[in-house]
Amino acid sequence: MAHIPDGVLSAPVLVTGALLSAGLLAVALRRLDYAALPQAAVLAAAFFVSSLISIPLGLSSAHLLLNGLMGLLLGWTAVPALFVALVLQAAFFGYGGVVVLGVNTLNIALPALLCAAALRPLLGRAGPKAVFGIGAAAGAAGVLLTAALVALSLGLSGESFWPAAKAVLVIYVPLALVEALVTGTVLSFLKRVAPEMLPGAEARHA
Amino acid sequence: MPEDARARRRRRGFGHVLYLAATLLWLLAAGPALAHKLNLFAAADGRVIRGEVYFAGGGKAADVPVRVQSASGEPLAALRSGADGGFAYAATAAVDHQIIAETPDGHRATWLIRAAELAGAFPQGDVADAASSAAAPLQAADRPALPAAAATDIGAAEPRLDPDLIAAIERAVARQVRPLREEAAAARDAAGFRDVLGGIGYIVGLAGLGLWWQCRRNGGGR
Repeated sequence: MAHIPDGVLSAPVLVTGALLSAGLLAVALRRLDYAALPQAAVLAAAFFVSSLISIPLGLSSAHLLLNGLMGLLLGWTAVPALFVALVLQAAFFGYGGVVVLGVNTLNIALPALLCAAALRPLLGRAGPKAVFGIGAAAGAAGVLLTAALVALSLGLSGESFWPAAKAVLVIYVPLALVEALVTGTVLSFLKRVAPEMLPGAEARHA
Repeated sequence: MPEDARARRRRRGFGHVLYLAATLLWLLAAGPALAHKLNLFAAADGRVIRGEVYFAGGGKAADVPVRVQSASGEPLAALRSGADGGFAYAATAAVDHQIIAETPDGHRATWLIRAAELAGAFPQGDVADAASSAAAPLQAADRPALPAAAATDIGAAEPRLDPDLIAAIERAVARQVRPLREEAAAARDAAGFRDVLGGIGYIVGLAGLGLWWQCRRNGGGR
């Protein structure tokens, strides 16, 4: 799952993940938009809590990730928000481990950043229908990219890659559909009732 | 009145945050508080180690590979959990058994069965091997003159019981205690409402810290 526990991954993967996450965090903190902090906190809390609500899917059970939504709404600020939420999940719920925190952060934050880079610029001039589409794309992409990164982490750690990748994908593809629906709905809801929370809209108001 | 408009918008934004928080709490209360973390419970039932693999919150984890290892990491058996998440392994000696359940998608849980838990099912020589590490130093201090074999007989003062009877008692007690241990393990693994509130509190606190930091910096420039 998105929260890989301690003792599964090999040392090189752990070190690489930790270094890359630290780099991303450093960049994100330097670019931190303080005006977005309350929003980031709300979304971090949503991410933190949503991990408790699981959906049984086949052999395993999964929960919403919300990393696509966070990337879309927060941009770079999503990285510290996700990191804080992951630390707290490890501390309070025992999800994931302490040593794998870097890898887990990378696996969840990198897709959020990619969603932000690819889809955020489109949000400003999108109509209500297009907003739903963009949200759905971000939700699905966030989950699927995370799945690919998790499979890659497991594969590089010497688990036989294909069974791992297959197991991960079997779980994540249905989750991606659910997540697409949720993210699209949340975004079109925000567009209707609180357009100032969407990026791009702020620029037009100013 | 741009000032007014902005204030109104901010108030509206605050209302939405409250709405979102209320939705979250409702979801939490309504939805089953399940989670996907893999857990493992095992206990000795005579010579047989019985256990089950489950997800935090209670969902059974079926068909999960379960490995049994000695304390030094030497593999003893490779099992799979059944449809109800259960598995069983017949121990051949009273030594520490490390049990590891690991799904291909990266869930992992471990459980340690201590030698002492199995000792009752291995009456004679095996007990001496298994218990010597724990029992010998104590008894050597008490009665240094006694040879090791005599020292492991739980003392001449106690009436000698039939080993079969002792084994039966051990099994009965283990069976009675097992539900309690399962409950304790499940309670330890479940994330409670307090954990959720604590985590949200940390997030709010950190955001407040960030905003305070920004205010301080701005204030310094003024």
